[in-house]
Amino acid sequence: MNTSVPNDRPHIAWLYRQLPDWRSRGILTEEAEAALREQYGPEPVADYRRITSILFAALASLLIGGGIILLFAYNWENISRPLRALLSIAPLLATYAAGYFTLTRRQEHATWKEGVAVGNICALAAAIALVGQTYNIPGNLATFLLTVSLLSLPTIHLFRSTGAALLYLVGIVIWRWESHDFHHHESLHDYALFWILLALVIPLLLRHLKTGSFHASRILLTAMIAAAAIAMPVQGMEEWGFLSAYALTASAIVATRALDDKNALILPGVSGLAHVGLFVILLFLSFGDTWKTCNFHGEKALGTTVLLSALVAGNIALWTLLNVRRKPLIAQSWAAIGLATIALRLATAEVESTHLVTALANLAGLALGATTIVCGYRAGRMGQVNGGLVVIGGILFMRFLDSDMSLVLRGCGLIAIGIAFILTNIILSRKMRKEKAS
Amino acid sequence: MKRIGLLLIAILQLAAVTWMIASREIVLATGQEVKFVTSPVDPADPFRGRYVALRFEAAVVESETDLAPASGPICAVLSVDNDGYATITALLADPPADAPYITITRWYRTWDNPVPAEVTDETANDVPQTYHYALTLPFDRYYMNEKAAPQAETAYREALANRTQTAADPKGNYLAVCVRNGKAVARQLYIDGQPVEEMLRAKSQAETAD
Repeated sequence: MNTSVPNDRPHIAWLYRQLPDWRSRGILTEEAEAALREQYGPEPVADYRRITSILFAALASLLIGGGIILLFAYNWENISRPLRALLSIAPLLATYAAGYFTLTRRQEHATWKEGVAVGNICALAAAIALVGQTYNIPGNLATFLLTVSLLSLPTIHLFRSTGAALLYLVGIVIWRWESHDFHHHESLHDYALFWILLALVIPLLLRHLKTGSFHASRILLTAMIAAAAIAMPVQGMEEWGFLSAYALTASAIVATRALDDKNALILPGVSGLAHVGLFVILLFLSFGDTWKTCNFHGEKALGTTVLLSALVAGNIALWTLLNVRRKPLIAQSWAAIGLATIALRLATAEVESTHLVTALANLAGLALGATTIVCGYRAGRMGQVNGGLVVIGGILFMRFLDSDMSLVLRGCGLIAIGIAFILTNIILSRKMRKEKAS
Repeated sequence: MKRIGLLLIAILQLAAVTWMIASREIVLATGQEVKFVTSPVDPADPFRGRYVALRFEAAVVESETDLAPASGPICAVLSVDNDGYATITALLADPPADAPYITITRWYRTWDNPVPAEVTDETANDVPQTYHYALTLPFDRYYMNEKAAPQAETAYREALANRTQTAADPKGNYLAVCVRNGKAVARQLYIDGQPVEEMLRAKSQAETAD
């Protein structure tokens, strides 16, 4: 199979479904069809069937485990304490037996591996919870989740289970929020532990990439990004810290998608969300007050600096690749927002007045909007044109909100922006249609 | 190779769960049993989910002198009376040699320092203070069957109300705890001197007979 073509099962499956029809209609010759089949390799099993069977396997594990526990629970009080403790472990032992069977007889079956891995994590969580109930152990959701998550890691990697990894990511995110002390100072290791736990899933991601499990890679990477984004507010960063982190992360997502949109590791929806996020960040940056809050102290500063440095390094590498591979200007522009944010902040950190940096931020936003419109128009993509109009319109709208104008003037201004938006849309789409027709 | 991996996972996970069980069974089997008198909880909802939320009179300690170190885990030294009821008489940084104790990891301290008008800067340190310690004891709940929980809730509230109204022996409501080397495991909740499960069974039988 030619490795430079998209490794995308749904598209290949679609193509193969069209071939007989095209051949019958004379669009393709038999030789051409054979050449295409040779190019794209054997017909892939439909993803949705595979994913459905995996989901059903995981669900079956949960249901069977839950049913067994409920059977025990019916007569729980009449069972002696030591026997209760042993019964708590029973589902866990069952998952080891199922795991042994899977590794010896069903090693290539993703369904079995996912089912066993998810079942093992659920059985482990149930065992710890039941033992806690049996011995009236004081509850602490954070400790429980951390314990289960850490003990799940070997299972995730042994069975290479994406489902189990997703459970793990949910666990560590909830753990971080539960363990965060909103009233007292947390130390550096409290913040660092989350990033370390997140990084422990990377070997599985790399494994999926190496074996060509593209769908699993996408899902896992998306989940990791979501986990980082949700945990960020409790990671001890001041406002500027996680504003910068979000900007850099979103820029990295946009850049990664742009670098390899055929074999895209980033789901289109995720890239779209990243664009929306960058737009929202641009709006925040257009306000003077945003640039005033930038005080990092002590251990928080060190942790924030380490994280932002890593993100900056990654962004520089990605943006350089975009440039070297001569990717479209629009992609380079959006991918540069994170770096531009940090650069502007560092350049004006010592300047007391925020007027200059705010003005620069607004100009940069307007320039980005204009670039997006122009690039979209040239590429014949009305969606991009509208995106650029939204950026410009959004920044102007914020200025209206920010100013001391009267309500009447603000209202008139907004109406004018809206009319300009519609007219620009109509004019440009007519021009594009004319150019396409000619 | 993968089978060895599975074996290691089984050993790791079972070791963790087994340790949880074994460490508490040892305390229950060989530890000293003491009683902690329960104090009233929010009458609107003493039960959360399927367990009884408990608070204890012993969890609040007052002293004219500062008993505890500056911070960190402390050892709450227990004094047990002839009836087996425990109170906390000292808070130490290190375990005591001869007395039963419980390791407390979460606690906080406040103090009253009333300064009369005639006190000057030089004599401020001589002003007597009262230290208050709020300790989070490592047994704040008692799990029950979810069908029995609502009945136990009613019985628990009635027992606490009786305590206030009739000044009955307040020590009829307590939690039996086994203590060993700083570790404590809750064994049984008593209401009106009876194990809560037995009390509910007797009550249910009495209601059926009526």
